[in-house]
Amino acid sequence: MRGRFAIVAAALSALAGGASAEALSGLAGTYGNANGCRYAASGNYVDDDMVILKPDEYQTYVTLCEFLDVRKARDGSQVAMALCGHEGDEAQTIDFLRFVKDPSGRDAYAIFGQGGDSHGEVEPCR
Amino acid sequence: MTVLPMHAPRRGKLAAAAAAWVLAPSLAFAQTLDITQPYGNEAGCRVVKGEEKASAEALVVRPDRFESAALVCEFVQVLKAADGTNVITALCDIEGEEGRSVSLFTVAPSKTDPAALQIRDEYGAPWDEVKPCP
Repeated sequence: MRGRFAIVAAALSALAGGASAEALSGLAGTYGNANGCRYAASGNYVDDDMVILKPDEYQTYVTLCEFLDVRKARDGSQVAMALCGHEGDEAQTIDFLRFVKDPSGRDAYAIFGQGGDSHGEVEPCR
Repeated sequence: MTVLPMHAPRRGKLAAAAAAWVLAPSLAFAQTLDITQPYGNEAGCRVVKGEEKASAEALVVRPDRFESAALVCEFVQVLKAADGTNVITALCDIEGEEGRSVSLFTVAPSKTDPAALQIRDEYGAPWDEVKPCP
């Protein structure tokens, strides 16, 4: 009985504890598109199409989003609730973003907005 | 009629323990704002003091909800960002609307009055500013 309880408790604990986080899983370090990685390396804006993804934030030329809650969907993609600041705008917005690992196994992530619109693809910055 | 099996009491205990295990981690997600007294706009604080009846304009903020005569928004989840902004997911009953809606808000200290809280919708549009009700 105790053994059964321990198994049930451990399984439930894993389910409950693993359901939410403040950071994306599977990412090691900084990811970006070409111009995002150039910006990450130099600190100088190269072009306004830059995208940078870190485990706890998403950044573009005009936006910086801090992840507050990250949940994994059944298909393995990760959905983040984020608080986003925008260049030239005092107000912050609440946004949802979805991150999909490249299905071929390549270390790359496609980024989508709340409505399914593509925000580009990022790879590890070297 | 439901017939309980012989092991029902044991299973009941197991289920209760398991439920507690599941619920315990979920308590880590706050469902309340970190305030110890009601906040309100001017009219809202007059309602709190019992000086006037609730109205649509009188907004009162309690640790677990927004309320006025026109709506009650119960907080389902409150997450705190690094800058101290609270991001609230709320379930709202709004007068004249059928069903309950899910709404998102930010609540952050006002830039002009440190004692006040600025409430905005998910798009950043200001909704109201509230202060502690005296």
